[in-house]
Amino acid sequence: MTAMLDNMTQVAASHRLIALVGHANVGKSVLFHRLTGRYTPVANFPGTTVEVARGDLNGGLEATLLDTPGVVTFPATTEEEQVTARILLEGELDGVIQVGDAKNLRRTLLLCLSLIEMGIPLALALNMIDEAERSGIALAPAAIEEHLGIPVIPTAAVLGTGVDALRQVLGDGLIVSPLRMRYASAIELAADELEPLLPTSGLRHRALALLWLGRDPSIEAWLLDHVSQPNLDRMRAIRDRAEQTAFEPIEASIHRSRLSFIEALFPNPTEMPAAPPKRRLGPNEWTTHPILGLPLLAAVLFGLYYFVGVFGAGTVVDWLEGTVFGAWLNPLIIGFVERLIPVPWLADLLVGPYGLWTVGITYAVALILPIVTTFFLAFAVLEDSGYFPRLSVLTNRAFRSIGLNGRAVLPMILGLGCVTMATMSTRVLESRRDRLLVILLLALAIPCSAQLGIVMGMLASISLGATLLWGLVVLLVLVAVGWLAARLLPGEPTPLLVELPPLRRPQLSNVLIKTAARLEWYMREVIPLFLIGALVMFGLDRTGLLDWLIASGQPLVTGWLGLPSETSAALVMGFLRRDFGATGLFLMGTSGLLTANQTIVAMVTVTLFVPCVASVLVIARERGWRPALAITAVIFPLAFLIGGLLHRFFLLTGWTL
Amino acid sequence: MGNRHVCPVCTTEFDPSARAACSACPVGRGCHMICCPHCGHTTIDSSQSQLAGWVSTLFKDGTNVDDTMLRPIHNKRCLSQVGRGQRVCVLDLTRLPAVRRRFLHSFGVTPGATLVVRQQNPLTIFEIDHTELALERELAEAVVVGDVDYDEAVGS
Repeated sequence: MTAMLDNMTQVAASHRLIALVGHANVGKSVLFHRLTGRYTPVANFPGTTVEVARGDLNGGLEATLLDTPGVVTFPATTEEEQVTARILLEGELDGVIQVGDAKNLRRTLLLCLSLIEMGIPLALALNMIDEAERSGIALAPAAIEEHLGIPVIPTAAVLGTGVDALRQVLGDGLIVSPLRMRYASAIELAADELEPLLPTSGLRHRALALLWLGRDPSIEAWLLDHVSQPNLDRMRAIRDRAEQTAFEPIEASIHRSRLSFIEALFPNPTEMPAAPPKRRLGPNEWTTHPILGLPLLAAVLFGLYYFVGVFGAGTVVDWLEGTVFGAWLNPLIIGFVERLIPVPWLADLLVGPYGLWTVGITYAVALILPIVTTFFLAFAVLEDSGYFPRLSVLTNRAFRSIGLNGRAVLPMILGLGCVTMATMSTRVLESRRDRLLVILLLALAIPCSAQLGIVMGMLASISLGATLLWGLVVLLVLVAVGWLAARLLPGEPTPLLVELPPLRRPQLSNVLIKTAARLEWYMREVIPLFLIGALVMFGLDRTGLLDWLIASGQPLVTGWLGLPSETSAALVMGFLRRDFGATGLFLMGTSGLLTANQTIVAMVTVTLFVPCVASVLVIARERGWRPALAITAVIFPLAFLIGGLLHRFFLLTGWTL
Repeated sequence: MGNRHVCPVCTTEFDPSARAACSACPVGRGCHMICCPHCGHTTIDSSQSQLAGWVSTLFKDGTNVDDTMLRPIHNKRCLSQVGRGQRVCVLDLTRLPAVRRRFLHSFGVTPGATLVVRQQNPLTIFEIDHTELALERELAEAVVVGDVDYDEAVGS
C-alpha cells in the first residue's frame, strides 16, 4: 500500500481532534473507553439533546477523541445523525476513525465510502472481528486497505484486540483517501456545477455537493447560513434539474453506485453461511416468536418491575429514607443547622418541611437514586444482551392501538419506576409527536412505584374487586386518551423499523461502567430540579399560597368528588411528590375517614392527577414550557372529571364495594 | 410476471420488450441483445439467440451464457407475503417513505440484494448479511421482492 499512498496527505501525529464515527451497536463506546481509558459521562452537544462524549487519548498521544452518536446513513435523517453531520461539517476535525461491524462489511463500507468522499483523514476499525471469525466470515483487511486507500485495522474492542495497532495508526497519522467515486452522469454534471458555488467547510466541495443533491437536512440548514441567496437559488435550480433528468431519486442512485462499487471489489463480502450462525444464548427467533416470546416477555417485565419497583423503590428506598436519612442523617443535620443558623426562615429553607435538604436532597438521594440505580442496571443488562429491540417487536401491536410503536415500551415500563426518569427516556423515540404522546400518557396514567405501592396496599385492604376496578378505569383512560391524542396531535404514527442485534451474554464490566456513567449524568441533571421544586413549595408555604390552594380546592373535592374536605390537602401535596398525596389518603383511610367507594374515587383521581413537580420541570426542559403547561392543563381537569364521573356512577348504580 | 428483468450490474428493473435503450444504439432493434436503460450494460436475450446458448456450451470452465443473461423476475410480490425461511431478491423500495428507504439502504437493502425472511408475525423479520431487521406490515407491504432461487426451484 505504501507506494500507492506516497503522494497522499499525511496528517501530523500531533493532531488535536479525532472523532469516532460509525453505526449504532458496533462498539464505538467500548473502543472509546479502550483508547481514552475512561467512560466519559456524556455532555450535551450545543443546541440538541443528543450526547457526544469527549476524552483524551491515552498511550502518549496528544489528541482528543469524540464519541459521536451512532449514525445510520448520510444524508442524515435522525437527530443523532444530524449531530454527527454537524460535527463533521464544522467540528474542525483532524481525523475520523470509522468503527464498523466486521460481520456486515457491505454496510460498513457503504458508510466508509461516504466518509472517504468527505475528504477527511480516515482509518477504518473493523470491529467485532472475533464474532465475524466465529461466524465463518473470511475478511481480507489488506485488500480493503489497498482498494480504499486508508488504514484498515481489525479490532475486537471488548477483548482489547487490535487497539494497540489502532493507536499505532493514530500515532503515524490518518490518511485522506485518493479514491474518487463516479456516479450517474446527471449527478456528476450537477456536482461539477455546484462545487464553485459552495463555501469552505470541513468537507470536500464534492461531498457537500452530493449531500446537497441528496437533500441532507443538516447540510441544507448549514448551507442556508453560509451561502448567499442568489447562489442558493442557483443551487436549487441545479438540483431540480438533476432530479428531473436522473433515472431515480439522486440519493438512491448515489447509494446504488456505491453498493455496486463494493460488490465489484468484494463480491458477497459477508455471504451468509448455509447454516445459521451459532447462537450463544439459544435461538434468537424464540425471543420474537408471537407465542413462545410472550412468557419470556412476561418474565422480563416482571423481573424489571420486581427489581426496580419492589427492590429498588421498596426495599432500598425504605432503608435509605427511613433509616439512613430519617433516623441518622436528618436528625443530625437538622440539629446542626438549627444550632448554627439562628434565623428561623433560613433554617426552614434548609431543613424545614419544604427545605432544600429535607425535601430536595433527601428525595433526590433517598428516593430517586435507588430507583434510577436499579433501573439503569436493569436497562444496561437488557441493552447489552440485545433484548430491548426484541421487546419492541413483541409489544408493537399493543402500542399501535394508541398511535405509538413498540419503542414506547421502555419509557412506559420505566414510568412505573419513576415518571421523571421515564420522561427523560422518551429521547429514544423517533418523532416529536411520539415523544409528546408518551410524555402525556406517562404524566396522566402511569403511577410511579412509590405511589403504586401505597395505592395497591390501600385497595388490597378493601377487596380484589376494588383493585381491579381501579386498574380498569386507569387502563381505559390510558387507552382512550392515547387513542384520541394520537388522532389530534399533528403528524403520522411512525411504523416500527428496527435493527435486531444478536443476543449476547451481558458483560458485567460494560453494565457497571454504563450504569455509573448514566447515574452521574442523571444526578447532575435531576438534583437541581429537586432543589428548585423544594424552593417553589417553600415559597408557596411561606407566602400562604399553599393554604389558599388547599382551601380553594375544597368545593371541588367535597362537591364534585364527594370526598371529605381534608382530601384537598392530600391532592396539593401530591403535586410535590406523587406518593405524598397517596400517603395522605392512606392515613385518612386508616383513620376511617373514607368509605370503600370514596377510597377508589380518591385513588383514581390521585393516580391520574398531575405528576410531581420534578416531572413537570423535566417535561418543560425536554419539550419546552408550552407543552408542559398544555399537558398539565389537560390532565388536571381530566383527573377530576374521571374521579367525579366515577363518584356519580357509584351514586346512580348504588354499587357499594 | 416474468416480463420484467433486473440488470446484473446496476440492478435496475426494466421491461426488455420496451427496448428503451435501442434508440441510442447504431445497430438498432432486433439484435438479440438487451441493453439496460440505466447503465447500458448489454446482455443476451436467451429467448432469441439459440446460437449463443450453443457457443456457451463450448466453454465448460469459462463464462456460461447464463451468467451474462438477464434473470427474469418470478413470483413478484411484497415482502409481507414471503414465507418463513425463503430467500428473496429486493426489486423495488420506491413505495417506502424516503426516511425508511434510506434506513434500509444503509443496511444494503437495495434493489438486487438478497434477503432471508425469518418471521412474519408479529412483525416481518428478515436477515441481510448478518444483520436482522424487523419492520411493520405496512412497511413490508411497500417492499417489492422476487424469487432468487427460481432456477433451483424449477430444476434447471
